[in-house]
Amino acid sequence: METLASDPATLGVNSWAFGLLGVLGIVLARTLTGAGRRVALLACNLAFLAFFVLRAQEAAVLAGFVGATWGLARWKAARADRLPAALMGVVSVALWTFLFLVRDPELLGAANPFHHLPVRLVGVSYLVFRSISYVNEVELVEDRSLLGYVNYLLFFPTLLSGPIERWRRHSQMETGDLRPDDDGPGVVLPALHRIANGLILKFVLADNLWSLGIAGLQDLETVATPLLWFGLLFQFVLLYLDFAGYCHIVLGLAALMGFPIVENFDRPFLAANMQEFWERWHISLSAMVRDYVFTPLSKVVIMRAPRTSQFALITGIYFFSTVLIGVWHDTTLGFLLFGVLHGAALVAYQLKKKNKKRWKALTPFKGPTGERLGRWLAVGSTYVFLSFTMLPWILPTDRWMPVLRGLLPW
Amino acid sequence: MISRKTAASILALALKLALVALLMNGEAGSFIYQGF
Repeated sequence: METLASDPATLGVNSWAFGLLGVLGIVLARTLTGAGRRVALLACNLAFLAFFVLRAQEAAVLAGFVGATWGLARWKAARADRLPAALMGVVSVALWTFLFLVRDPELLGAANPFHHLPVRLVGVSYLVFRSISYVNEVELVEDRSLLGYVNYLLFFPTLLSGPIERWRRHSQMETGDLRPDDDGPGVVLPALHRIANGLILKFVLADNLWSLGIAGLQDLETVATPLLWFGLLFQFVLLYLDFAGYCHIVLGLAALMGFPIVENFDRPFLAANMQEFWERWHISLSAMVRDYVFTPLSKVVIMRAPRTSQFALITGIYFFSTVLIGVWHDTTLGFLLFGVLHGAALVAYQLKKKNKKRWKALTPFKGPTGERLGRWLAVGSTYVFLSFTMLPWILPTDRWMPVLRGLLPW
Repeated sequence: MISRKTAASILALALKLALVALLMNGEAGSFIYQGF
C-alpha cells in the first residue's frame, strides 16, 4: 500500500511508512521497560511528527506551546493549595483562544499574532484539549517530566484525530501500570481484527461510497429530490464509517503497543435524543467538554445562583458547551450553525425532561409497546435531525439554500 | 498447537486484509476529522 495522501506534509495511516512506524512502536513498547521505553516512544512520536512539521515557524510555535503549557502546569503544581479555583477557567479560555487564533489567521485581523505568520499545527484542537487535561490533572500524577508531557501530547497513534486521552490515564499506560484487559498473547488477534475492520470501514466502504453522500453529489441543483434525500441521510453513515474506521485502526495499534486508549463510539445511531447522541458519538471530545467546561460552570451556578434561576442558567451552559463543540471543529459559520442547532436541540430536550409529567400526559405512546414505538420514533427523528445538521458542516455556505430547496421542493 | 478457533480467526483476518487490498479506494488517504 503506497501512501495515498496528496499533501507531501502528511503520512496516511494506510501507508507503508506508518505501518513500519507502528510495528517499530509495538516492538519497542513491548520489549523495553522504564526510561528506555519512554525514550523509544519519544523517538517514534517525533519521527511521526516530522512528517507534518516541515517549516521552522511551525516547529517554533509547537515548541513554544509545549514549553508554555508545561511550565504553566509545573507552576500550578507547585502552588496548588494557594491558587484560586477560577485559575483553570482562565487557563482554559487562554488555550481555547490560542486554538481559534492559530487555526484561523483571519480571525481578529491584524490583532491576531498569526495573521502575518500563519502556521498549520497538526491536530491542533486535540493538542489543546490534551494540554488542558495535563494542566488540570498535573497534581494527580507524580511524573511531571517534560518527557512524559511530550509523549502524552504527541502520542503518534492518536496525534492526528484523537481519541483524546486524559493525562492521568496516559501516564499510567506509559509506565505500564494500566494495560489492556487481556494483555497476553490474546490481545494480538482481536487488535489485528480491529485494525482490519477499521481499514474496511474507511478505505473500502467510506471512500468508495463517498460519492453517494450529499457532499459527494455533483450538480446538486439538478439532482432529483429522492436522491438528494438519500444523499442527506447517507452522509451521516459515511461520516461514521470514516471516523469510526480511523478510531478502530489507532485503537488496535495502541492496544498492540499496550495502551488501552479510551473508546470514541457507542452505537451512535441508537441515540434517541441529542444528549444521548453526545454520550455515544466522539465520546472523548464530549467528555472533555463535559468535565472541563460544563461541570465547572454548572458548579458555579449551583453554589452562587439563586435556586429559581439555576435551571435556566444550566440549560444555557448546555447550549454554550454544544456551541463550543461546534466551533472546536473550526471557526466557520457552518460549524457555528452546527453547534447552535445541536445546542437548541439539547435545550429542547432539557425542557422536555423538566416537564416530564406534562409530556407523559400528552404523548400518545403509552404502555410497553407504545413506549417502544415512541423510542424508535425518537431514534429515527434524531437521525434525520442529525443528518440536517450535517449540511452546514459538510457543504459550503452557497450550497445550503439550493440543497434545502431541492430537499423541500414544495 | 493452534486451536481451531485461532486458525479460523487468522483465516478471517487474512480474508479481511485481502478485501482491503482488492477494494481500497486509491484516491483517499486522509480522514474527515484529521483537519480539525
